[in-house]
Amino acid sequence: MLVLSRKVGEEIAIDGIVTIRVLSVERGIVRLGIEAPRGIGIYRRELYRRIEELNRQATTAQALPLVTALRSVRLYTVAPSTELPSVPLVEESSMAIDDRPREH
Amino acid sequence: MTSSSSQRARILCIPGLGVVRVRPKHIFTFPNGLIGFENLKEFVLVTSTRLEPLRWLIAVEEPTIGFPVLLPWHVVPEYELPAEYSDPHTFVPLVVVTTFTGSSHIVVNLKAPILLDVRRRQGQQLILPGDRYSATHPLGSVPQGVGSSPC
Repeated sequence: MLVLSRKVGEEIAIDGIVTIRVLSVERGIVRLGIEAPRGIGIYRRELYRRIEELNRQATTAQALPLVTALRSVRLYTVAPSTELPSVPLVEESSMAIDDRPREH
Repeated sequence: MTSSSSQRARILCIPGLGVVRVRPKHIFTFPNGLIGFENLKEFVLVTSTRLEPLRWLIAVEEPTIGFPVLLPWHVVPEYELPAEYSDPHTFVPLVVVTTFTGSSHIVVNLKAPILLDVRRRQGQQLILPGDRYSATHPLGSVPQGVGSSPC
């Protein structure tokens, strides 16, 4: 990790496109001002980690229990404003065979 | 000689879901990947009448990685995106549905929608500023003990 010391009012340039300025330091809290072009995501690290964690957990979802559960959840009807390019399942393996006993 | 092969359908076998034939027109490019999956750049949206209104966003490069998603308006009818993404004919948000091991709760991530640009066939995951939307908006419960078989 690169370590730099900066005083209040001083800045750090990253790649010439991002500028971070130390605005104030009070009682252990540093306030930073950040300038960056649009499209660069700037987040508190812990928020980014939380979204990462939720995404990772989402990949473990199993279709059948989730679909079954959602049937008992109140969802609103949505009229699509635009068609989403989607791929239809041509064979629904798990959904079709799910009730069969597992073979080992 | 091989140029036509790139236009042909690719067969993806998706564990727990089934089989899809992916054509180039189906593919959304995610230049930055998804949060936590920055290396995955191409996704397709898998549908089936039996899944509705859920869809599954599947990584073309790694079909074992998929995200159950919903249109946010199924959950929150007044859901809004920042003004720059508000053109509904260009941008469509999807919210990720998450279930937890050892828990029956289902949550949707309204805070970090996956934004599809249907004109450019691109996608990105946003993190919306402010505290209007929760990353773990409760939806309901999954019955325990129901499994599903691999593809």
